[in-house]
Amino acid sequence: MARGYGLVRKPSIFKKLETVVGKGYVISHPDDLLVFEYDGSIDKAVPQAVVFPVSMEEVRRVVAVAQEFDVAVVGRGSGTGLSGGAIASAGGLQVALTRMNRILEMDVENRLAVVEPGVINLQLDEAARKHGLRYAPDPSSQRACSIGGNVAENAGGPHCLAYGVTSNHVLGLEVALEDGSVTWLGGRTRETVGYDLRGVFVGSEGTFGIATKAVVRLLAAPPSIKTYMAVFRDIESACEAVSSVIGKGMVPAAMEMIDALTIKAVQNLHDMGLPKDAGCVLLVEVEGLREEVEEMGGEVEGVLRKSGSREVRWAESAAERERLWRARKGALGALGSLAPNYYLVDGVAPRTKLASVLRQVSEISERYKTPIANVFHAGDGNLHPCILFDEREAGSVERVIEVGGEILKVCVEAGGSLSGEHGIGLEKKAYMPLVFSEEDMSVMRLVREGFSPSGRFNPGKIFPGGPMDGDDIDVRAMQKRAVSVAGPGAHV
Amino acid sequence: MQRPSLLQSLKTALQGKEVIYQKKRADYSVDGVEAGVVVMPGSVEEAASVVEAAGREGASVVAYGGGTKMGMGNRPRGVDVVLGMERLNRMVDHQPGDMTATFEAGVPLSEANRRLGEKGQWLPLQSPMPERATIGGILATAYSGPMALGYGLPRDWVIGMRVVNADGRVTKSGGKVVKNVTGYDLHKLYTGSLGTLGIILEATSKVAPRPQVSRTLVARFGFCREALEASRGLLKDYASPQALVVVNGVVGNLVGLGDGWTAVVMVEGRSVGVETRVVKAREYLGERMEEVDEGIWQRLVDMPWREKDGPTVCVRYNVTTSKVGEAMESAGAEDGVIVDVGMGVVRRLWWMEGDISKNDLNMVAGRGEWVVERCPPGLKEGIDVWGEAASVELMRRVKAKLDPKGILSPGRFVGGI
Ligand SMILES: Cc1cc2nc3c(=O)[nH]c(=O)nc-3n(C[C@H](O)[C@H](O)[C@H](O)COP(=O)(O)OP(=O)(O)OC[C@H]3O[C@@H](n4cnc5c(N)ncnc54)[C@H](O)[C@@H]3O)c2cc1C
Ligand SMILES: Cc1cc2nc3c(=O)[nH]c(=O)nc-3n(C[C@H](O)[C@H](O)[C@H](O)COP(=O)(O)OP(=O)(O)OC[C@H]3O[C@@H](n4cnc5c(N)ncnc54)[C@H](O)[C@@H]3O)c2cc1C
Repeated sequence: MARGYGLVRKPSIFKKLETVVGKGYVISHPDDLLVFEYDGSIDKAVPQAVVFPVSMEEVRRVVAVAQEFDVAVVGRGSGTGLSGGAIASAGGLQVALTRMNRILEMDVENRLAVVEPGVINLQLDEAARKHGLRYAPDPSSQRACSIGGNVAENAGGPHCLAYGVTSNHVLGLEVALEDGSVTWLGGRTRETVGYDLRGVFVGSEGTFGIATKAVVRLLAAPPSIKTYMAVFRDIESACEAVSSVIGKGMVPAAMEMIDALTIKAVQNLHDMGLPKDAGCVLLVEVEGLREEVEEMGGEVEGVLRKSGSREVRWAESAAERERLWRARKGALGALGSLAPNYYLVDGVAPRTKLASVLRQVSEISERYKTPIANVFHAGDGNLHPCILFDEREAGSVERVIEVGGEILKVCVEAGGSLSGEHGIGLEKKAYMPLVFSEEDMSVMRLVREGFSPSGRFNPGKIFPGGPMDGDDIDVRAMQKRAVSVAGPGAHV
Repeated sequence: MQRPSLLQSLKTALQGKEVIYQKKRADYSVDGVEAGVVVMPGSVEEAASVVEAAGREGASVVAYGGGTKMGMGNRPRGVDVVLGMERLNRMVDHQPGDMTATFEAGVPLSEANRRLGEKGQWLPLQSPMPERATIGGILATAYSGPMALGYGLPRDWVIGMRVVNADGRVTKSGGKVVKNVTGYDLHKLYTGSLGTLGIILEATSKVAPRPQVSRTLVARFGFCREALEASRGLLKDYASPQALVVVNGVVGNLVGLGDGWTAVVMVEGRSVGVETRVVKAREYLGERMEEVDEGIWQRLVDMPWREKDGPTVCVRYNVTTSKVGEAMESAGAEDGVIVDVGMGVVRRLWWMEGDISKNDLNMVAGRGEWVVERCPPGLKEGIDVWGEAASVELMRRVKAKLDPKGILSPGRFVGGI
């Protein structure tokens, strides 16, 4: 059962934790803890202690200590999740997995890697590239985010259009459960026997247990890549182009959209080669065998032109390709050149409804007299409207929260969903009833109780209501704080 | 076993709708256990009423799709109600532009693909007897054929589900969009749970564009080792095939491939790429490579389940690519072998005269993760056909939460769940 955990500090727990991880790897001084009250840009909550285990065995014992002292536990990877997932309930323990950052095995023949949860996504990919392989899920935060965090959030990235999200790439997980036991979910093979517990663990936002190892699939790196940039008059025609490409039976590796406002922001800072007068730019990447890329690339180009693109270019060199991707991945950070603050919404709409959803987003923008920039994964309908504002203006934060909520409603009404990649966490839990009935959620809660009978792991997240700090928290207030600290560069 | 009060409850719940069939009980027996009563709901509400009523009576409920796979699993502890899915057979939705589709559970795979094919798309899953095997049954068993190498497993395609839970509530997880991290992926949990956690009423999946061309190549080898080496080599290449299995002569002769060890390769996609892949395949498979009709795939997939000349026993091993050789080590000359090298799935088949003993079974099962996929019902007494699975305790806990009275397919799953 979900329940509350007191704010009471229990100093005797610190000693106990030190016997597990050693002196120096438990942080408990209130001043030191302040650093860990953040998660990306979202919210603040001071943990009772932060523990830095170095092995599965230590994690297991830390969790057992939490059980003994009856405190909440939350895993923490790199703290880039944007929905408040990694912050502790006050009084809870944060288990920081940064020291568990080894790639334990690179099994080239079986195309898999065994990694500790603190391994950084990009590091894993780079290690795989040395063998002609790749780790496909590539969130834009891949330079920073951890595999453990990716597993917990079922992270995706530009290339998950063609290769699928994290869940499709995890074969096995070693997890520490609340009673201090450790078990494997899945293993090293794609088919396994029994319930697909790894499948339901992925995306469970740290509420089931702590992943202490992951076995992930690696894919062969493609021999040929071609990246196109198509310039459109407006975002609607670009959306239609996306549908036409897919409608022709082609699934490019990535299709990413950058709207006029975002282009302006990017070009304000550096010339990244984006046309300043464009209504919208679509990046399309095609991968595969050289001749496949040539042929499919040609067809994609044709479709883009027919759908009203006034110009289609492709990167002639690796450097040029790199530049286009930098423009895309750095787009959010560049928004700082337009407004002091922005608030990123992470909603999903069916691909074919993108144009109409974005039209409604722009109506919302006008109605609230609030500029919204759009840069997103068009190929899989995961949009990221960025609401620009200045927190110093009275009432702006309230307005932004309302705008965010309206946009999510539009997504859901179009048949979409509340989050494509950042998770529900604290930030969006109040919106869960838009998508799921009380009964749907009660079944989810039951499964959680199967994993964690006491609800000790990451209490107060995902589901509306419930304990956080021992009280029902006001999600609205949390969002407000989240929005107000979401300054430029908070997430890039 | 018939229970009068159950029958009464069902009749009340279904308000006189004529969907209860007592005469069909024998046709719907499971591993020799005769069904108490057979119900064929035609709607979500009816299905929910049945499960709810059964739950109140503490009666067991077993879902029945195409019935092609009812021999799978341990012997049920009870089959009070068979919930037949054949009337839940509609395509609920297909959005070609979104590449998603929603089907009711009772739609046979071939029917689903016929409908999707009208728009040039498909659900790239394989199953024995696709004209009978249903979407619900395929998901409940997580059945995958050799194409999983190129296209992934059923779990990789499902993005949302509607199920009736053990207490008769109809709930959903996921949705209709390809990227979604809202709530837990319970559909992953239901996939492969053999109807023990919930009964699948509707599933939404991603669908794919049909490949422009598909070619099937075979090459024969004198020794198992040669065939495996060639296959492993081919798998390492970026231009690796969508499916690749190696079979021995016993299986080869039954499906028309003949003696020796045969590698069977599927390459699909755009024609230019396929050309290259065929050339690549020749590098590894050698000049002996020839092209055959794609019908071979269905014959291969059906083979272990064929009723007429199929094996008495079929054991599946899950291993990594590098361990497939080991998993076949003790295979005798009379045994059938089907190896999916890339997926690490090894099937060993036995044709036994008369009874086979548990000792025989233990001998064939051996180390690692294995499942007895097919065997005479009598042999199931006293063994767990699922071998050893990791985290059985956790599985039991999940089961106990979702089905506390243990009414859904009791006893059939891992560890007697
Ligand atoms: C600039 C930027 C761009 C981003 N772009 C993308 C994107 O393209 N795609 C995308 O999917 N996401 C994106 N994100 C979101 C974020 O990076 C991902 O959600 C990422 O997976 C979080 O990883 P992390 O290591 O930072 O996890 P954290 O933020 O530390 O934790 C996230 C959640 O995971 C849990 N957790 C962490 N480690 C473990 C563990 N070992 N076991 C169990 N639970 C654990 C935590 O408790 C928490 O609930 C972006 C974020 C930023 C800041
Ligand atoms: C003669 C024969 C024997 C076979 N034996 C095996 C075998 O032993 N092992 C194997 O791996 N494959 C076997 N197959 C493969 C089988 O065809 C496929 O796996 C197929 O997907 C089963 O689908 P179905 O609709 O026929 O399911 P069914 O046989 O009707 O049901 C299979 C299982 O799924 C459950 N189920 C069905 N529908 C639902 C639902 N909607 N919700 C929840 N649970 C549901 C049933 O209770 C049952 O346990 C066999 C095929 C044939 C032709």
